[in-house]
Amino acid sequence: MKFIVNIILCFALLCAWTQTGYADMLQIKGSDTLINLVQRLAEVYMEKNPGKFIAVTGGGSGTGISALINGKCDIADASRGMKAKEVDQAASRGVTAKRVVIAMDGLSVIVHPDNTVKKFTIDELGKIFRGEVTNWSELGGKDASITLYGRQSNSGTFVFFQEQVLKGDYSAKMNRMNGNAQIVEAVKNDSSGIGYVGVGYVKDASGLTVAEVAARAGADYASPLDKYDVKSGKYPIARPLNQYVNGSPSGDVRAFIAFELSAEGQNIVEEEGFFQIPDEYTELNKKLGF
Amino acid sequence: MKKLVVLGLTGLILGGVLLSASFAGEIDVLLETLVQKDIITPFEAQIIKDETKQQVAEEISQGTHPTLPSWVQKMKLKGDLRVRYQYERDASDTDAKERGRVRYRLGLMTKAGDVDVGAGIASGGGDPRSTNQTFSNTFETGDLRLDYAYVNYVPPYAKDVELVAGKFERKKYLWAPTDMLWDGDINPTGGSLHAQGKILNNSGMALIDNTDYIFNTGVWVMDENSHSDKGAPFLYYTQAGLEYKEEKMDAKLAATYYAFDNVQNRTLDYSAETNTGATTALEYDYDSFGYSAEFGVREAFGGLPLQIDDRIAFFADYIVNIDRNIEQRHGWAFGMKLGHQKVKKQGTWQLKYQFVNLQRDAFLDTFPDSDRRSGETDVISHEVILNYALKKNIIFGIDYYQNDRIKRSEDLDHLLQVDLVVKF
Repeated sequence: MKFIVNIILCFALLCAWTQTGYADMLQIKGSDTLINLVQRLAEVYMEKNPGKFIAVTGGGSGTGISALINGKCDIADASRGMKAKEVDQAASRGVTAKRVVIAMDGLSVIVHPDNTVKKFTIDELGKIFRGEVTNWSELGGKDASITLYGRQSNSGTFVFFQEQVLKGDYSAKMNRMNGNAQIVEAVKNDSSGIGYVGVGYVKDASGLTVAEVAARAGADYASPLDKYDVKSGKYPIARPLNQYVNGSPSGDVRAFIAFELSAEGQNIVEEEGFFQIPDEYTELNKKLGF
Repeated sequence: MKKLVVLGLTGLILGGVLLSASFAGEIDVLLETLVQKDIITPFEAQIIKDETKQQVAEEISQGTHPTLPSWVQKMKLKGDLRVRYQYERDASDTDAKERGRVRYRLGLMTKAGDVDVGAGIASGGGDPRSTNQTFSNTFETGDLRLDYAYVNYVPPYAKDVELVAGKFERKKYLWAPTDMLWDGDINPTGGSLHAQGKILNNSGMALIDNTDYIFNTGVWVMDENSHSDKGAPFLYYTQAGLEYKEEKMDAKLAATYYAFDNVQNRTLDYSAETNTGATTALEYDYDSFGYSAEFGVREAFGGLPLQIDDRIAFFADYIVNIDRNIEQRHGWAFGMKLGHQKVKKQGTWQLKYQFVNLQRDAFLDTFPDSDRRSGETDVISHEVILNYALKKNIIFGIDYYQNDRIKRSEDLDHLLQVDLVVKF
């Protein structure tokens, strides 16, 4: 009898279910590196298109990609590529994630102006952030312990820097900050500090030094502030800033991305401190019809 | 043209071999060489890597990669190894009992057509509440047993619903924020249904933002109908609840009805022998109602040196045996957790306190946490747990129990467990 009651309850519930619905407002969520840029793009777009509404929120690239996979947003901002696990989760939920590159970033390594060490190789940065080099004197600087400032694990910048520079685990002593702006402020106030942030947060910043970086010992050093070094890929930790959508974009999603990639949109990209996309990524975007 | 050929060849090579991490490393070197020789630009190299990685991941996820059978591509392994030092002492003991223990679990999941199939093995003996192998008897070899083996199905017309049959992990199909009633090692046998999704109105819009309904039900088979005994014990249960989740706050509430059949007047295997009649014939049928809740807040300590995903949560469980003639028929547990919701990534941690008061006949003594006086009822207990991730998936933990009796006059006991857990 109890069994039959349970079965009836299950059947009644099964009959009642339907699929989730969506609101009309375009929802964009994800990277904190991209948030200021995409908010500005959205504001200009809404001014030009009365009646269109876009909500842009942060939380980190991982949060944005997760929201896209779970159907909680229309566009995921991501300063890193999707992980295999995320691709797998997306596929299991019937989401086909497609990438559009909307801007370029020269991921910037910053130190205090009093610090005499202003150039690094990728290998040196890896050793610093893995905690293998712990004193500035080991790099020819003053005798002072290195203080590390980085992002939290839900940040795409955290993951990108780990994959491209560390190729290992971060030092447990690294201070994990909420956002790029917090890292900038921390390094400004710490003469022994070093951090990494999107170039949009340091292009016009004062009170800190943006370091030059070389791909390897003996290679040329390049600055993330030099747009030619970033757009040519000479700056070794230049990266595309991505947006992921579910399937081939259409309707409001397509219209907004088209605006981001237009000449006007790309000018806003530069005004916000990032760089316009190079030819290679323009070609990539063409696969989605942009 | 030369560049196109190189790009095409590189893409093909990558597509074929990126399944192997070591090959992937070699391809990175190849691409870097091509960049240094100005055959391709750094961004072209990056695009090839990114696109190929995503394509291979998609193909493997969908089981369409040409090099392997579909079920192999969809295969996933998971497991963990725990090494434990354990200290136990009753107030009357002259000396403490100390022992080393190891637990190993390995599971394999794959997709076969429309269904998911999973199976896992674990160390330990037949006791469903323990997968530990104790260091004893001059390096005695341990057992490996079937921990779970199930088939899981999501009906295409009701994506919110999951059906499972076999021997399966309990947590998805019956939620409980504490282990007052259910030891974490228990993998029930039978069939269950789990449903979770939005409550929608007629136009398909969510009635309540950020809120899911939860519905679990099932029939769990506790023994077989033998030739001589056709009254096999069963558990039928139904759980209904709500889950609210937003960036800085979450809450989960559920009510559960447990209906046991054929439990009264019999004994059960692996009983802790504290229920009335447990060693001769159980006096009651143990049908019961339970209520469970958990409430969590993130960033509650803005000024403290904690991180954004640090969370404080309060949780509680309550159970009542519905037979009003029973004197000792209530159980309750409550506690709090502070720290990260999941202890997995390096540096994440969680501190947890839990109080349990489980009266003698509130619930069957075959199911509660075995570390609380070997899973007995008639127990009152305080537990403090600290877990810290030394590295990703390598967790150091300390778990302390102070257990006492509610009614019977036995000694207070202390149990300390120091664990090193490696998950993979």
